[in-house]
Order: sequence, then C-alpha cells, then structure tokens
Amino acid sequence: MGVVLSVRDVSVYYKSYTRTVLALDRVSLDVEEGKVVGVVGESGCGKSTFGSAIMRILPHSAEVKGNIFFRGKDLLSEDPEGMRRIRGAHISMIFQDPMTSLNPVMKVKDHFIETIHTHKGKIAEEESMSMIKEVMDAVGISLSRLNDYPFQFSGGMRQRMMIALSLVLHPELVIADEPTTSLDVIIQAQILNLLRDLQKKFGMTLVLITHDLGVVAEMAHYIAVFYAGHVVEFAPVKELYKDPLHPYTKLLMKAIPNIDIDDRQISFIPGYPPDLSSPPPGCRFHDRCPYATDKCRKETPPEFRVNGRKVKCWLYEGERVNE
Amino acid sequence: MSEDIILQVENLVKYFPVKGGLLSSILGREKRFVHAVDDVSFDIQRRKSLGLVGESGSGKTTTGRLVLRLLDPTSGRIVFNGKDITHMQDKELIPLRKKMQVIFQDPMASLNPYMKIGDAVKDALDIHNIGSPRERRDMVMDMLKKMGLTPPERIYNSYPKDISGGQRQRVVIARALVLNPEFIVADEAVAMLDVSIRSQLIELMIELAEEFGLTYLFITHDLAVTKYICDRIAVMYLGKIVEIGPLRDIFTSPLHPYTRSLMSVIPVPDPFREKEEFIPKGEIPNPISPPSGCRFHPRCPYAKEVCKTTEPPLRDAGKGHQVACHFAGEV
Repeated sequence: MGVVLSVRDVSVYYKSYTRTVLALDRVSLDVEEGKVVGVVGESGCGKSTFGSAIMRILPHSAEVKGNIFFRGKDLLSEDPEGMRRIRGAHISMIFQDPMTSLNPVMKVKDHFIETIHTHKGKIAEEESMSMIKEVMDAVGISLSRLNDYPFQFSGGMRQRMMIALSLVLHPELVIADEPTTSLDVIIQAQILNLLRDLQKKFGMTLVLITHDLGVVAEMAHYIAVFYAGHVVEFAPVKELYKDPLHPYTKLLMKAIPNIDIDDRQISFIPGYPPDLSSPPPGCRFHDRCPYATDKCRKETPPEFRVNGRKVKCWLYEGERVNE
Repeated sequence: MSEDIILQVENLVKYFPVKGGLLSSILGREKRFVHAVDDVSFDIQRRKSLGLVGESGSGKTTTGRLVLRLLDPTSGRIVFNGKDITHMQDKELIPLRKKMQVIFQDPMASLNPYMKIGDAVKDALDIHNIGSPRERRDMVMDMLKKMGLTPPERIYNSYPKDISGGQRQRVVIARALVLNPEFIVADEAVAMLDVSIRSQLIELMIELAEEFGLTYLFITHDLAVTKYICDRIAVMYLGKIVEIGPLRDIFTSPLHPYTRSLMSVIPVPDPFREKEEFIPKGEIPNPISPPSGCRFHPRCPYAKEVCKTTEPPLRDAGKGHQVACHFAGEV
C-alpha cells in the first residue's frame, strides 16, 4: 500500500506578544492509503493542530515548519489557490461541532452545490444531484430535506450531513477532528458505525482525531498517541492495546472507565500536561512518569523502533534499530 | 423507618411552556409544553449516592435543578431531610442551601472571571455569615489545600483564567464544600475534563464523600463513570425514569432495552472484543409531544402493539430494582 500522507518533522508555533507555544514539535507520521489512523491524546497535546496543519487552516498566529507530503506534493509549499483546489476535493475535514461548520443562513443543498461548483465548475443540475444523492443515501438522510436549513436538523443529523458534505467529491483523505465528541452516546455509536461503513465503502483514508481511546479501538488500523506536541507512540491498533509500550499510553489506557463492575479501582495519571510555552527539559512526560530516570529529566528521547512499532521513551533504548 | 432518607422525590413534574408567537396567541392556539420531567419518583438514602443517567433531553438536569429548588415544580413533592421543601419560600430556603449544593459542568461559567479564586470560595461563607473574616480566610485556605490546590496562598490570589480546567473544577467543589453540605447535585461535573483529569476528580469526590459524609446526585450521560461513585442508578428517558436499581444489577442485568443500549454503546478500549451493539434507531423524540404508550417504543426493536398504546408503569423486579417495560426480562 502506498503512503498517502507523509508528515515530516512538522513543528507548529503559536506566537503572541508575550509568549510562544510550541504546539507540535518535529512530528513525523506516515498514513497508508485506505487505512484509518487514530490520533489520540488529551486536550492541548497538539492533535487538533496536527489536523489543521494538514488542511492548512491554522490561524495566522501559527508558524509551521517541516513538510507535509500529500501524494508526494508538499502541502506546506502550495500557494493559497493550490490549497483551495486540494481542500474539499482531495482532502476534507469533519469538525466536532457541525453547527459552527455549516452556514446557518444557507440551505443544506446550497452547501453541497457550493462545494461541487467550487471544484467542478458549473456542472449540470442532474449531475450534481446524482453526486448529492449518492452521499445523502450513504449517510441515511432523505433528499427531501435538502431544502432545509442546518438549524432544522438535530445534532446527530447535522453531523451526518457534515459527513455527506465532506464526502461528496470523493476525497482520498478525510480528517475527522473529534467528530462525535459533542454528541450523545447513542448517537456517537451511530455516527462511528456510519464512518466505519463509509470508510470501507468509499475506500478513503481516514485520520480520526479523538481524546477517547475507546472510540478509536473499534475502527482504527493504527494509533498515534500524542503527548505535549510529540508523537510518543505509533503502532498497529491491536498491538497497541494488547501491549502499550510508552508509560503514558499505559496509564492513559488504565484511566478509561470500562464497564466491568468488578473493576472499580480508579486509576489516573498524576499531575497535569506541561505548559508548552516553556516545555520541560528531557522527556515531556518525565514529571508524571513512574519510570522516570535522571536521563529522562535531561535528554529528550528519540524515536525508538521496537518490532516495527515506534516509541519515544528511553526505556526502549537498548532495542533501538537504526534506520 | 430504619432507612435514613436524605431526599425523597414523589411524582415530580415539570412542564415548560413553549413560547408561541403573536399569531398563535391571536388565534388562541392551544398552549404547548415541553414535558421535561414527567412523574418522577425516587428516594436517596444518606451516603448512598444516586447516579442519574440519560441522553440530552432526558430531563436529568431539570430533575437536579428541581430537587435543589432552583426551579419550581409543576407538581409533585420534594422532601429533604424529612422536611417538605416543595413550596418553601426563598427566605426559608437559605439555611437549607448550606446543606444542599451544586456542581455544574463548566467551571469557567460557574466562576466569576473578575473574582479571585479565594474570594469566590469565601463568598459562600460571607453570604451565610459563617465565622469572622479571619476565620473565613483560614477556612478557604484549608479547603483549597484539601482540594489539592497548592500552594493555597497563590491559588487564593489567582483568577479563574490563571488555572487549568481540572483545577477550576476543584475550586467549584471547594466552594460547594466550604459550607459543609450534606447533599450535592453534581451535574455532568466531570464531563468536560480529559480522561485522566476526570479520574483524578472522581477520586477526589469519592474521598470527600467519605470525609464529609456527602450524598451525591450524580448526573451524567456516561454510564461507565457511575460505577466508581454511585450506589444506585436511575436511567431517565424523555422525562421518565425507565429503570432504577442497585449499581451492580444495572450493570450486570439491565432490564430495560434502553439501559441495555446505553451499556452497549460505551466505547471499550479493546479492539479484540467482539462487540454486541444494540443501537436504537433514530434520536430522542421531541419532548413537546412525547410518543404515546411507552416513550421508547418508536426506537425499541422489541416494541409490540401494547407498547404503542399503554404506558408501562415502574414495576418491581426484586431487590429494589424497578423497571418500566412491558416485556422486561423477556427480551
């Protein structure tokens, strides 16, 4: 399988008058065609910045370094017009809150028409309608609702629409940033099942950004665990859940409440993630890590390879294989 | 009675009128109501926290506000510590408010951004005129320390924007606890926090419950977290309690199809698990005109004719477990 997206040493700085926040620090990640990659981490770990950096929709205060290759082309060197042609048609995005992503005074149909016309020019009505019908059918919304406005839909329906809209041009890559976070648990399950079916049906590559390790366990092929602007672990989903390597991944996994009533021992990671305007020296997780040594406090660990998996932790130093 | 009941709720009802436009009032159209809470009854024993679980629009938040008398019920009865508080006037309620406190979901919205953390906590003591100004300051410091907000001197003088979300929620808890309450309504108190911070806070809430002898009404959409902190669970759907029972029974043998679906959709961090999902069709209906019969019938895969016409009452399923379903135990 070819690599659709290759992120290379990407750093993102948010600058204000008083301080600079290093939201992503030399992040590298490859995404294979047709696969689902889950990007997981707590608030402020840089996972949304990662998604927005690929789409090139970061705020102006952000400075980006590195390369993001999409089908061999560096997105970071595209001009605004070139990016416009890519967004929507080749890479699209699903956001957390569909109400703020849709235009409240535009009918649903016009959202689709606008997207189609932007990329395909003024094509015939029948042709656009058949494209719209395909995706509306796929997400299970009746075509009769095309003349409604976003506020006339419930939250779950709006997210379905958002998904239909993101797929109407059959993009190769879809980035979903917390697509179910603002939804109720049952609607969340419906939307996740829908996304999983659509991913298979359309064969798109999906980057699923979420704070919930439970959500990605069920649909991702690979998981990238983000912590304080670093990818601390990258592994195939089953291996990661069976045997998490990084101490952060281990503790994070334990902190998720399961439904086993006999397992009522609550566990959590002590402390808080670091302030990224002055990140700690050494490993960024060292002050919360039960295994931290002096080395961890002083030197930032490189990425070690363990059985084809990647982990940024000194514990695995001996197992390093040079690339 | 040997049981020590802290809160008793009987046939609680809250309808919110729907504001019609000018046209509706001229035409004299029938007034419509949102049936937010519709005939809800439950007891909470002292130091036996109740988890109130349901989706958005199930009426769980309204129930929480009603029992605190932050909203006036349409009908029904609320008894707190043996006293009927349903029709108490604000003045009579003030001394009671020390005993019953609330923690909301969003600490940023619960705290005044222009008020120092310490003053926000002390405010509660000022209002109820507890202790001398000096004592109040010490009480606040003690409470901040207990919440793990250290160093308390620095936290006391900072503003909500200066601390993290998890710390802010600790401040809100400190403010609730400084009055030494007995009963706390925690309305999605941990919903906005990251998983690890959430677990920290639940741990703190459990410790505090033991230390202060607290009873929680723990309102949440997330069934999984209730297992740490609750003794009993009530599941609400569209203004009704559809199932209520001991924590373990609800987790191991849920009887209502809706409870079962809530259990089955909890995302489990285990890609090896063969998941048996039971996802109801569609979404929660409009509470202005709730479905006839059983309110869950349009989404229930087991619905039969009787479910469309007859509302199932809550019936006993043994050991304090009650369920409102015609076919509970059969499906």
